[in-house]
Amino acid sequence: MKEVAPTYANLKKNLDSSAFAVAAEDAAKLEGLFKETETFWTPFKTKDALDFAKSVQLAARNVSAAAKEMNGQKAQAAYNAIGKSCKGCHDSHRETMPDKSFKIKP
Amino acid sequence: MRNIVSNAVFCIALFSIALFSFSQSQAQKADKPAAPALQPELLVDQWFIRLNALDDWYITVNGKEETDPVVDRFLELYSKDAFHEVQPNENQLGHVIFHGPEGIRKWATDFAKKYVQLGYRIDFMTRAEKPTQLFYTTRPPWGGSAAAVEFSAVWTNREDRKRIFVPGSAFFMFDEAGKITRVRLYMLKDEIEEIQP
Repeated sequence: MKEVAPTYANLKKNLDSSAFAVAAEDAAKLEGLFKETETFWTPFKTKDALDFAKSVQLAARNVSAAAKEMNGQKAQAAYNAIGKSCKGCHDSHRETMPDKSFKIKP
Repeated sequence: MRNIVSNAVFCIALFSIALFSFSQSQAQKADKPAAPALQPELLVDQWFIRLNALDDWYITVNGKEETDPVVDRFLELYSKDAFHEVQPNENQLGHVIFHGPEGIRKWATDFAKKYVQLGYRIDFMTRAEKPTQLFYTTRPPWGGSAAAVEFSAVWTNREDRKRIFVPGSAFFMFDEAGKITRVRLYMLKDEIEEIQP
């Protein structure tokens, strides 16, 4: 999960600078990372977390496809969908500790 | 004559001192609140606090569900020989009785892992614009105390994330040390409702 934030930031940077080939790689990496997230939540059968993880994978796939088509507008729209799922899941399943570290809520 | 008067004054003074001391000690006794641990209202309140805290745990990055600390705190309220009785569930017909620390630990652990965002609250009653939580308490002939409350339970199913409301009532028996010897929970499943966001 710690790789998500830098990859997500890189994706934004590469989309903004129309570096679509690298952006597609970032999106593919994100898709893989969220497959891991889905695997983490699967034994707990936590519907919203699983749905968020799947939504991000789909959005990342869409970013990747749009980037390969060099369609910046479409890629940005899919990118924004990733952010919404991130926030939704963090609101429900992430708690910030006093030392600014995070813990996973059931 | 003077001796008689002085003796009488001395006796009156002595009696007054004794009376004052006695009244002071009685006043102190009256002012001193009963041991908080033995007040059934506070014991019941504590049970609800620790029940609601059963969702206050985390999952490690390795996927371990760390429920033990909150379950341990919940179990501290029970005597070693306690009974915890709940409604039927998908695994059993008829009411389900958990006995002793290990039995109640199983119930509390399952409960902690099954529900999140717990909000069990003792109901408020209002008459003449005076709201209060009613604790129906009594002293059983065998000692200790007993209490009952009506409550409203709200929780989120951990798996499907549905938010549920159901009214219920709980009956408690406590021993002389303030430990729970029996809890019986009744949940009115006929009045269960899903809370829509």
